[in-house]
Amino acid sequence: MISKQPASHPVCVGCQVTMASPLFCFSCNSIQRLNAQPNFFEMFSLPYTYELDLKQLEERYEQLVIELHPDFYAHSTGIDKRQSQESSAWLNQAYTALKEPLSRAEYLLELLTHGKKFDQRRLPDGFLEEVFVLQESLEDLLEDAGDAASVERFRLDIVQRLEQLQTQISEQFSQIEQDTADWDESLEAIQLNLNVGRYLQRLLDRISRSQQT
Amino acid sequence: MTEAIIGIDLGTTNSLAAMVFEEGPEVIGRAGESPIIPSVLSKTSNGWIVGREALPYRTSAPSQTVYSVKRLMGRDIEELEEEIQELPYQIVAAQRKLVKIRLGDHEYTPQELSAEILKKVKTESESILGYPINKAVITVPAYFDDAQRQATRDAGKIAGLDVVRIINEPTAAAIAYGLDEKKEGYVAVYDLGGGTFDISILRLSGKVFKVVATCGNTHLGGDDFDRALSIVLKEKVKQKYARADLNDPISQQIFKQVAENLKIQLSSSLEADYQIEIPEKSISYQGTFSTGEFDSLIKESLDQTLSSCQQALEDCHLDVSEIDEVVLVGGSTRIPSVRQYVERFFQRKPNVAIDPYKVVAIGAGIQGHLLAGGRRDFVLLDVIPLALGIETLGGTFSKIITQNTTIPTEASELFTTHVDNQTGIEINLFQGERELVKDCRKLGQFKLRGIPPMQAGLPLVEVTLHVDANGILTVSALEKRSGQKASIEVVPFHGLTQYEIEQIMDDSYEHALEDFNERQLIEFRNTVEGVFQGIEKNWSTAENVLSDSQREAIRRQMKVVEEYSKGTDAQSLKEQMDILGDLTRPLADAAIGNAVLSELQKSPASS
Repeated sequence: MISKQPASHPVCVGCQVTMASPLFCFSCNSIQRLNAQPNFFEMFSLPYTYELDLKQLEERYEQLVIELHPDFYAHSTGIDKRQSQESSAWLNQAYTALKEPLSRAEYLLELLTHGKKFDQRRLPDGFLEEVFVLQESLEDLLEDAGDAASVERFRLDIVQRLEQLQTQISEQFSQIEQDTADWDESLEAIQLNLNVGRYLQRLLDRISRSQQT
Repeated sequence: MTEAIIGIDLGTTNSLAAMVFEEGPEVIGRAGESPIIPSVLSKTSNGWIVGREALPYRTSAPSQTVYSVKRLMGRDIEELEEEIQELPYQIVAAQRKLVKIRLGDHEYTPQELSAEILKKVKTESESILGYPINKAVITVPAYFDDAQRQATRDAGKIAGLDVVRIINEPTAAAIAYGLDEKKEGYVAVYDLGGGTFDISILRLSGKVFKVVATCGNTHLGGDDFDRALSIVLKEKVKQKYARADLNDPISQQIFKQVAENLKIQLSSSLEADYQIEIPEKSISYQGTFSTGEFDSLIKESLDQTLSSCQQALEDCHLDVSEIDEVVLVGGSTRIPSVRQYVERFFQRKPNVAIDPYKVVAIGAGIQGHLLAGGRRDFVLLDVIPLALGIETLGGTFSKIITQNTTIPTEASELFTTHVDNQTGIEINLFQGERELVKDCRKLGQFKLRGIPPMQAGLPLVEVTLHVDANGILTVSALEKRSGQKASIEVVPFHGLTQYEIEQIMDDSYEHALEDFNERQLIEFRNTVEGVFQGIEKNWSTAENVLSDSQREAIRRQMKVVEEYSKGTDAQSLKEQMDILGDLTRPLADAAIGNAVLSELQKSPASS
């Protein structure tokens, strides 16, 4: 389950060496032919954890991306060409998901619950009403076009709330890691926080869209 | 190294090709001549005139002469209201809201016209390089959506080019700079061209060139400045000639050209004189314009570009102080106030070490070199400029792949049925950043067929959107319970169907004669070069065997051949070469055994 080490160590079909990533063997320099998308953490040989070493993620991503990119398979066989398209897409998808804290939490939650879904619509009592109020006051601020400073204050408020949320999520995951709390309860609490996060993110998107137009 | 792949900057106003030579990357051009091919084409009774030669036709035959066709690529009639007003050629609606351009009794898609420009770039390059070119990397504005990218790729196909890759213009520029100066860190590329504006922020680290954010406006560029300027000029002329009608195509084009020249002059001096002559209307007007006046005209547009820059920085969570380098791209960045704006915003002097006109083509040429297997020391990671998603209940836009996601990428979404034994689902696909689908771009409709009959809500159809490295989308679907692949029929809303592309390509066989002429020209021009070298090499022999008048005749005929080889008529060129062949026969006879000279007697295609 949640652990400091990747769960499996894939072996290269070509040279039989244990690989750091199931996507590519750095020992015999060959792209691996895969039918299904590997686990995101395993792609980068990273432990299943919320507190991810982002520098490591970045480094391993860059090592893999230059080996897998379709630009280097323009003259390869059809199979490798297709695989490079597919593996590059998977790699980018995994990197994007793991890089951002909320999407990383979502993915990790999915792994830990084995696909069993908690209610993605449930919100803490009173939160929806609060969001409505926030939304209305944001629309008022945005209509009042000259008031950029207030919009910025509003934005910073939301950013701060999101950061607090991430701290909470981090604590909840670490409780699971250390087995100091009831799993199901913690996982459900994380889901609830993620649901809240989605609403807050939507408010930020609204601000950035208004600045774009 | 396999077959050469050139890079083509297919611009709104100018196009340009580049490639990597032994000495390094450089634009493809003749010494002493501009390598730039204006993106202008005119339909005449003798066929297409493309590039520099077509420029005069803008005023002499405005309704037959097409420029700024890039603005029409992949767009529908409703989006083009503004363009239709101002462009002198006739734009008409075709099926599926597509647009066509009517020239005489023929209608052409923007793809076909763009293809003519590409053909010109291709044949020019071939004639300069002396060998055929079949593959190219073509650049597009970073902000081009799927339909616009598809249209560009189709134009390449119609032109007989294998478009191995489509890359974003600012990214191409970053490659040119990054590899040239071995930069590391964050680079902002400010690209203000003739018709579009893009800002891209890239992170350069070792071998990886990664776009982290991109933002822009496909309807903002130098053309807008020309338009604003010509409106002001028109008003001035109106004051003197109150009753003159200045809205006919010829006057419009004259104003546009005066405005264009004035803009260029104002880039290097604080004020400039201009003169407007419309003989047909007995209009003659002179005036002076200052950079101050011009700057106030373009201020609003420039403010818009800066808010895009701000947006891009926010999208990648960077502060302006974290940008290590600012690079300028596009002809409009020659305007001094543009540079001042950029400098003030980014708090640093922009880098203009590589000519902003050439930098995009050069970057594309380097990418072409990489794709041809010439190097593998860097990889370019672009992003998707606008979110991709589907229409959900109530006309809301549900994003499946978000903006600025690194490509290639893919994402899936599950769908189910609403009625028992339903075997098909219709899904509408959109691209955009707004909340409601009505404000986004409809890319197409996907009809899933072949879902096994089941109770409503039971089938689980997984639809996967895959975006390739060119930013082009493909879709696949799988019914998860039965494992059956659902087939997908894509109805593109803006692009051409495969059938239509084939149709156009078939039609273009009608122009095969024209193409044949072009191929021959290239071949003949190469022969001319060889023949000339042969004559020069044996000129000392000529002194002995030929009379003064014979030698003079040869010299004269060489001049004639040289003139014809600059022209476009292969048959006449051959005739003139045959005459040269006759004149030099005594010389060849005298130098029997000299391989070069006997070669020269073999006039091309005569055997």
